[in-house]
Amino acid sequence: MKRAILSCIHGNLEAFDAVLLDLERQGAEAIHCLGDLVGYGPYPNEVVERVRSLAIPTVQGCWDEDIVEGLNACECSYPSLLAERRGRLAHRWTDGVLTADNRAFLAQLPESLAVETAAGRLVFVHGSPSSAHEYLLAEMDAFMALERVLGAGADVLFCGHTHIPYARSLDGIQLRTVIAEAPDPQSIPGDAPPVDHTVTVPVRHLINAGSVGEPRHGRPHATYVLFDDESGAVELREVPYAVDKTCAAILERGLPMIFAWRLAKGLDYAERAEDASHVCAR
Amino acid sequence: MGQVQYDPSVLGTGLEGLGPVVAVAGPSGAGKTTWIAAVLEQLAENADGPFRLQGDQAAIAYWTAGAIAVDRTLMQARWPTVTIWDDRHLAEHLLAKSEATPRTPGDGPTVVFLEFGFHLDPMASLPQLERLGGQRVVVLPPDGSLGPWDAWATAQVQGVEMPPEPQPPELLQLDLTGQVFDPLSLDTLWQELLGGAYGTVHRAKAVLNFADGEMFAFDYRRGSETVYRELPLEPCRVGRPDRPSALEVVGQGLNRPDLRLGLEQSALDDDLLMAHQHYLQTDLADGPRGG
Amino acid sequence: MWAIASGIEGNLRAYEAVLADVPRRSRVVVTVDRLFVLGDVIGWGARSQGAMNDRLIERLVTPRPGELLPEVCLGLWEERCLSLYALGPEAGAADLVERWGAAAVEGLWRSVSRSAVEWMRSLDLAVVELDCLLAHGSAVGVEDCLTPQTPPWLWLDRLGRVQARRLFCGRSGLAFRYDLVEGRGDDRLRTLEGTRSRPMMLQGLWGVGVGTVGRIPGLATYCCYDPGRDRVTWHQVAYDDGPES
Repeated sequence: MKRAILSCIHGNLEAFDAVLLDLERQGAEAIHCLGDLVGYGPYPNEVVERVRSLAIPTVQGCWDEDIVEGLNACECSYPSLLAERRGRLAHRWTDGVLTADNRAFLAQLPESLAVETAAGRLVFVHGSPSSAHEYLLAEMDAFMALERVLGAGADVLFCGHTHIPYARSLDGIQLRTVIAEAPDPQSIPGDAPPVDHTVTVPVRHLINAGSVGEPRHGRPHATYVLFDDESGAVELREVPYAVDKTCAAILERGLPMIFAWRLAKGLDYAERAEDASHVCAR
Repeated sequence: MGQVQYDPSVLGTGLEGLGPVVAVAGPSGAGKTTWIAAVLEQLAENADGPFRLQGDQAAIAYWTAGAIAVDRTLMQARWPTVTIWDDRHLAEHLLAKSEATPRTPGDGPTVVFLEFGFHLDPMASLPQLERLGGQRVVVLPPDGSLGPWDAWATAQVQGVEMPPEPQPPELLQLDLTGQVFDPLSLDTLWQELLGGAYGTVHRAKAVLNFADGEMFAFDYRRGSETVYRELPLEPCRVGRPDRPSALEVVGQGLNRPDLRLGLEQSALDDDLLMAHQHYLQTDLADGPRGG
Repeated sequence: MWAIASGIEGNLRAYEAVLADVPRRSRVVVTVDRLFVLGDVIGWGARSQGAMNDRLIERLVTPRPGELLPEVCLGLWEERCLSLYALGPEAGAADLVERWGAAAVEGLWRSVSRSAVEWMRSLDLAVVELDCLLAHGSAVGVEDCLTPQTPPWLWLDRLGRVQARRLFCGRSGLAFRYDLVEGRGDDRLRTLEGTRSRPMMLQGLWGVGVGTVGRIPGLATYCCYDPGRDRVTWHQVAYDDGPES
């Protein structure tokens, strides 16, 4: 079965509708959403209602969490004071328009979802298995990426949050350890022979679904991922849509003009995932 | 600061022929300020001449229009002994006189440079300038035509090449005195400005204070990279700096309200500034921490 | 050479036994010139009930002539204590209550002075020296419990987060050495721009459990690390565990 995995819609209804049309044309039979339905974009309620009406299995994103619990993102998300202030403004605006019903929906979203398939166990998270605020960047250390996938008990781990799609495979992994233990509390290592062990890990995949509503790859087109859960084939999809309509809506609905300009350029509105070695303190 | 050549013959018999007024006009970005700076460099080399730039006697004054002017701040920083005139000084000292100012030592500046921004009509000042005497220099790009300055100028200087402007440009000036900026925020905003987020920009100049106490000058002209320069001033690490700070943008369709908002959002509020300055004091006092 | 200890847990005699033993580890060519204590300086036990916590902190902070001034990291006991003073995570003392009961909470709270609390607040979660990470748990937190059973990829994550090649920890109380001798794999990345492949390689990383000073009655364990020769050795010191005088 072909599955479509979307993430980070951020209230961009035009982009969302364009992606829904595209994935249907591509023959996707199931949809999974990695959260961040709201935030920055002009149609948070409409996006949530669309997700609810289509009953799309969805995990809670960092923005969804922040709208429910109050803003508490790690400082690492904001590269500057300007970005932080714009982010807070977007949060206040979204908080002001979101209906109680839709807020309740976001509150009950799980932190992760999983499904067993022929291609193995698929796990869906927003940021990383341990935090919706942690960025799993494309070039993070390969062994650390492996830990994220294995730690989630996944064969394929789907994540979002960075807004730039990628498909990473870690294959042919062999790890050799030599462990010297004290045989009892009254002894020290060396009192018993060490244990030499090699573990082989079958191929693992880490796939980032990019962003539907706030792409950051330098072009304004929406991105999402198609996954064949029998063959394991992955396709990174880029979908043009009527960006100018979203830009017009941003202005009409009282969001900052600069969001419209940055969206049209395929730039982040405020937050940016930059440092692959930084691990979110939250 | 540009590739403007100083041509002494423009001013008649060279340095001695200067004064009492040298009025400078020309299109935006042609190099008026750069030319004035080049003349001042020449005067500085001539330390014993009648137009000293060192010492107590302020022989030179400089004026450019408007309450807010980046160029005035830059001039002051580079030439501390040049007297900087604002509009009030100009009215008091020069325009009220009916005759040429005699060159008497101690009787105010010996030469006044008047820089007419592109948005001023130099013809409006022609009667007074003729009465005062001195030179009227127009700085033009290599392929520029005298056009509106034909009847006004007494000399012409070749300035920098400029891309053509299809429509008359607008000028946006913002007084940012007292504002202290976060460098990363300002960098983002500057890229947005140059990228056209706040209108089409032909020219942008700024002198800005930053969180670590330093002051930087930004100079952008369309078609080139921004030139950044740290100003040789004492860092301000206690409270808000009171030295003039401003942004000037020349372009079309300029969006003042959103640019102002962006600048506000890039600036440190009182609490942040105090916290940062406290951190600077303690960090500088402690010195590097040993391992 | 560094002496590295953890888990004093309020056991002053055990700590003093280690202090007396450390100078014996110095050799002609290399002396022990730094002492690290990886958290759990204070503790609470049914027997001790934190009686020595304050004195222990004082002993650490004011060493006697000839003794090294220890460089101390935050431990789980310190974090629990700080949470009681509303200076640490809210749930920090929940396991304390579960294990020892509510009386333990008050007892721990009373066992440290105001200045001791301020000192604990100043402790870093971890220390990075040369290419070594030293922490009670890890850079992730004091509760992170790394053991010989921890899978190799988790060790690699904890080392990779701070780009260390050596990790010294004390949370488990165990003395061990976990050598990540070598690792390999193929890393293939596809983005909208294209594909790249590169080999995954690692070699010669290791983690060390430094043992516990105060948890085992009568026997203190700690280790020494020579950064010059990249060698670690463990040492055990017996001490009199009789009633406190």
